[in-house]
Amino acid sequence: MTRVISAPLRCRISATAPEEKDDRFARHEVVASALAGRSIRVAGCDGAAYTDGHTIFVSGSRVRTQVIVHGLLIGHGSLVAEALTGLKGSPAHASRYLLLEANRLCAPGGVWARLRDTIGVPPNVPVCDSTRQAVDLAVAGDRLPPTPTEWGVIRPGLLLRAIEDGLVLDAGGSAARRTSVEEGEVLDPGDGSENLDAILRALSLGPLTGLGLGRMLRKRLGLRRRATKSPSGGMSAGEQIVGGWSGQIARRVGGSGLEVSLRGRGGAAVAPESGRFRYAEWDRVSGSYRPRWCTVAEVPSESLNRPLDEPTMSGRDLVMRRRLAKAGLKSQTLLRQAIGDDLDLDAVIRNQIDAASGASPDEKVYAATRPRQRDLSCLVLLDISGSGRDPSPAGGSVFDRQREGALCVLDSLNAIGARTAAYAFRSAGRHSVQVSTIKGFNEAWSNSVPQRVHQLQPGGYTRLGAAIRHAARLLAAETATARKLLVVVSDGFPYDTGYEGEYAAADSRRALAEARHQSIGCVCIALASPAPDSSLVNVFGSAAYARVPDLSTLRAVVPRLFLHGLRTSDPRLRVSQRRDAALRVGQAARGGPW
Amino acid sequence: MKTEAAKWANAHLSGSPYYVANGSEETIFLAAATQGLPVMLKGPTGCGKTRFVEAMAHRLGRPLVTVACHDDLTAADLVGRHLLKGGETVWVDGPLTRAVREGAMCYLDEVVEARQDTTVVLHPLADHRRELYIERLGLSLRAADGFMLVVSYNPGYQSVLKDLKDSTRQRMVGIDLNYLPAAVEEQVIVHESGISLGMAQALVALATAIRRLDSDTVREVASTRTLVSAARLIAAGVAPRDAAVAAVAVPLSDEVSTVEGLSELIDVFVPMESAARSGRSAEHLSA
Ligand SMILES: Nc1ncnc2c1ncn2[C@@H]1O[C@H](COP(=O)(O)OP(=O)(O)O)[C@@H](O)[C@H]1O
Ligand SMILES: [Mg+2]
Repeated sequence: MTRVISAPLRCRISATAPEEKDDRFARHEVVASALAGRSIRVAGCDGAAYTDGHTIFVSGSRVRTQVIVHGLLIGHGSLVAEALTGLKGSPAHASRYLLLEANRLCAPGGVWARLRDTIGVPPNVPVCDSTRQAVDLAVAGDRLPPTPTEWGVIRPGLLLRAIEDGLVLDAGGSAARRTSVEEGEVLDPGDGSENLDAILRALSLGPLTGLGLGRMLRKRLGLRRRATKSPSGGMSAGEQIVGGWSGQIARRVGGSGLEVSLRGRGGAAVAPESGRFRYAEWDRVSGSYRPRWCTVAEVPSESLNRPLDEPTMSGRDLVMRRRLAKAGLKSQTLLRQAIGDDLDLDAVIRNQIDAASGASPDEKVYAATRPRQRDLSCLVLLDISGSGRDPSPAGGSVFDRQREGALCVLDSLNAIGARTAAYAFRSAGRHSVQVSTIKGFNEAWSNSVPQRVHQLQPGGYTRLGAAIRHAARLLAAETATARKLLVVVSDGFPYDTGYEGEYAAADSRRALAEARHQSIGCVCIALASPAPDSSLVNVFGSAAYARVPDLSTLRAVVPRLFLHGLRTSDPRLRVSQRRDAALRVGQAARGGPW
Repeated sequence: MKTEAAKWANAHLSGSPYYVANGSEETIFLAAATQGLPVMLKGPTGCGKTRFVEAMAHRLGRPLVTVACHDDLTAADLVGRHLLKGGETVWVDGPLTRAVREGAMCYLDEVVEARQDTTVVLHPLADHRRELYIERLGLSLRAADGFMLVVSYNPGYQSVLKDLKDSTRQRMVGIDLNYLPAAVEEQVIVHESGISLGMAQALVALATAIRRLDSDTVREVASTRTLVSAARLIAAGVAPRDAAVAAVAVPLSDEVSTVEGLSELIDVFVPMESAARSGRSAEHLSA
């Protein structure tokens, strides 16, 4: 019985895990994040509104005002350690500072000027020209109008602790984006000091790494967090000086910022030493990445293998090849077309004979070629974790069925002319995610490919996210085709030390979403997997995926599955459209032509 | 037919296209044109690349041929093909060949959308040879004097960029375009739509906020083009908030929750009524 699961459209690629969200404030999070320049949550609280640099806690009826005020302060460097230190211990000073900064940030003539009325800035508040000046004025005795109570409060102690512990990056600036850039810069072996700084900052970003580690490292290395972030390069069009600590620049990031953050997303950090790669991991609880969290090592395939003892499979599956070819993945010359690049000589002759004999000639005299496969690269990622050792209802172990399926898919893709590669992965904790080559992109098909698949020995755990990020990196780095496809063959049970349940599912989902952001189509095949549908949806998210009991069912769903996967890799499609290109073939699979 | 995508622009007949420079792009472009160098424009969608090329073609007094590239575009679509007409095979020039023969400016919009086997015909055109090889005719055409190759791409796309040969890229003069500074963008919107400056300021403030969102929420940001569209809806009598939702929020995302969030953002920045003005807007209008 074919079971192709329709992934619902609700899988949201957002900073927060959907199941954690307080829906009442969902719409305010876009406002908070836009003003803050990074992903910010909004949640309810009792008492006065405040922020910890990560979430804006709101109360009462003026939620919009509270979100604007605190979002602006987060986004424009008002909540940096230097300022907060001067305000600590005096709620009155902090409250005056809140007023002065909000007033400064939406000063008349500035880009946020129209927010003045919305939040209700009291009249006659002096306009400071920097954060420093606002602190000075806040602690001085001058008379100021009272801060509107509905704005809430600044909690310097709370924010300072969060900064010290690395829970928040200085609670200012476009921290998230900057860090992505800096993560990229870590790769540059050129300048040591910047690197160290970037590493420290990166270290302090992850909520759990933050537990004193960042602080300890900084102390040990005798480093202080820099108050200012050096803007990389000059100002480009679209930037504005908003003024901040010592006249710092708050960036208004234009469209080009996207590229940068794409690069940083998932933190594909290139090998510090050969064959080892660091990747970030998504922490759904904090809604942020743990930078450079996992180490993926490329290991020789022999190390994962068992001795060759049984006859090997060939992987050749003519049925699957034919079906894939039918799915339009083959180069075709279409004859007798009304439009085409070349004349179809037979059709031309027929046309002329018809014309000469008085019959009405067929005008379809062109030949059109659509060389699709030349534009496709495909990487098959095979889960060889120990969970595959469970017996499969279809005979043998789950893993036996999976490797068989993976090999058939690989062979068929290869046969239709795609550039192919296959990798096996398993893990033993975040520092040891092992990936081994079954077939490299530059390797021609040979008998050793099926042999290697056959020799694979299941064992270890499944840090699925890191493996997917590595595979996406390989696809991006080693191929230059317009279409790229990642095929994950797994039982759909991501599990490793410190990597379980919802956390692991959210990270896997996230890693697939990252791949799709890079225009890599994703297809997930849960072959002979005992995992329930609900958990597969959770792990594979909106990627095209199918749960199939055996190889023959896989053959049946492969064309449609791949077409869906490919559609999501179409470079012309925006991610916003792609997000929803979930596989919806449930009905078709039951009544479809194959 | 594919060649529908190509059109002869008659900008020189209907007055100069309105373009506000954002830096030194005009100087560089005109110098490249004088020197017969091809130009590569980079920039996000809707930041004015097409408008810029139209303005430059007009300034130089050259006809403009525009081709919107896509991944089904074949070399024949650019270069030309044989057609059968009344028992005779007739060669029909593609838009690129026409531009080469007539000394026109040929603008390949979103060139990275085209496949490598298509863009390969550009290589000998992009260097000192300035030649177009027409395989089906077995013939090499030397580009006429006024011919200029201009390509654009949006670096926000994960693209076939790697397929544009490095050697070709290096023969192109690169110009980075980006969204305009707020005050200038406001002027452009006013010019393009006729709405009040105050309303244009509201739209630009909204775009400024959206451009600060990280790419997980919206991949693309609000472009000048979407702001101009919103402004034109407002000019046509649509309530500003509805216009912004329709032209800015809805196109940016299909996620219901994201669109709702963007609508909230619109409520924060865009007045309900055309008449409503606040803060800075009133000030600037009286000035
Ligand atoms: N610098 C500019 N000067 C004048 N109008 C501009 C400018 N930038 C953007 N626009 C407006 O934005 C619209 C979209 O620009 P367009 O050239 O189509 O963008 P692109 O080709 O980069 O996608 C134009 O029609 C015009 O109204
Ligand atoms: Mg497992």
